[in-house]
Amino acid sequence: MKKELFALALLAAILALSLWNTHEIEGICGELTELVESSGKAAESGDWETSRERVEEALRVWKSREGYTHTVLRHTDIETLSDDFFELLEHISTQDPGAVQSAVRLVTEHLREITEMESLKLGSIF
Amino acid sequence: MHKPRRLTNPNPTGGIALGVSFVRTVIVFILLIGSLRIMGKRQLGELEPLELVVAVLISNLAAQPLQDTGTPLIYGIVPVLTLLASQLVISGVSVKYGKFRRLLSGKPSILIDNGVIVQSEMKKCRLSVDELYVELRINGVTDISTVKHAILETDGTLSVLPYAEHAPLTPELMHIAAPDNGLPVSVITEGRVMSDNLKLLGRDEKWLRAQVRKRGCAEIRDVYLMTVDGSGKIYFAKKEGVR
Repeated sequence: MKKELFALALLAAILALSLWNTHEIEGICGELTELVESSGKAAESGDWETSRERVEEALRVWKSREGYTHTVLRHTDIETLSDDFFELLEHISTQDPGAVQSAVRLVTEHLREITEMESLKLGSIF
Repeated sequence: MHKPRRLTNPNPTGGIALGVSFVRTVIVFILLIGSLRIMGKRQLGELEPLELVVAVLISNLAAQPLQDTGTPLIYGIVPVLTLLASQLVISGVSVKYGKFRRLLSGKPSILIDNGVIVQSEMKKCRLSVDELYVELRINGVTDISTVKHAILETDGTLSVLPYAEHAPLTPELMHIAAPDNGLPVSVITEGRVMSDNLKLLGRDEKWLRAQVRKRGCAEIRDVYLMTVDGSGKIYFAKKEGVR
């Protein structure tokens, strides 16, 4: 019976880890989305310095979680998102409002996709 | 102008995730067990449905992150652990509860009862007469009239019980005392001495060398196989090409 109890505990632990992972990814993506959106707003009002600082802050947060994200996310997705941040920074440095807004949309869309991939919904299960 | 790129899986609801991977594994595991039960015992190939499902799934699940280095290893580890834990839980429950075991593995089917082929059971097991004959021949039976009972076990193997007059002759039936020589153990395998087995027999290497020399071999390394049973009976095979 000990073996079975251990197996049950293992199943419960995997489920708990999965739920925690979903919560953690939602937290990271939520924080990044907020920073990127505020960068977009700053760019809209012509505050390019704040816009750049927000994206740099987002990139710092993203890079600081690399160890974790590399364990749970597809590596190609991580690279795509990192490239998105650098591209956004590039557009901010050229101060092109249209390109910045579309880059902001792309980053937030990718962040939303990652969150949805990790969330436990009927659609993602079946 | 920047080119819009998509993530690995453009469909946000079709990506991989830990929780999704866990729930999917549990669903597929249960679904496969159910499918195997419906498919019948003959498809199992000497494994219980539960064992077969785990054996089939584990290799595939573990291979995915090995082939695609862009996929984190955790997506191989989580489903494998989920499968193993589920198997342990289900087999534990099935040992404890007979009804659950019957639901999971089914019950043996009597295909020949008192020498009569139970056609309804044959139909239920989707077994033709030809296939029954194949199974009987595998069991060393060529004449179906010698079979009293044939039972298709839950792992898909056929157990054949012949009538008493066709049962193999045993010393007991002949009222002969048969010596029990015990289990033969190998003391030399491909030129190597099996020291533990030698110790188990209460013999030493000196005795072994003497036995080897007595059988025309100069060295232990020239022996392919040597076994000794409880009564001291020796089976000896030289390596090919050794004079």
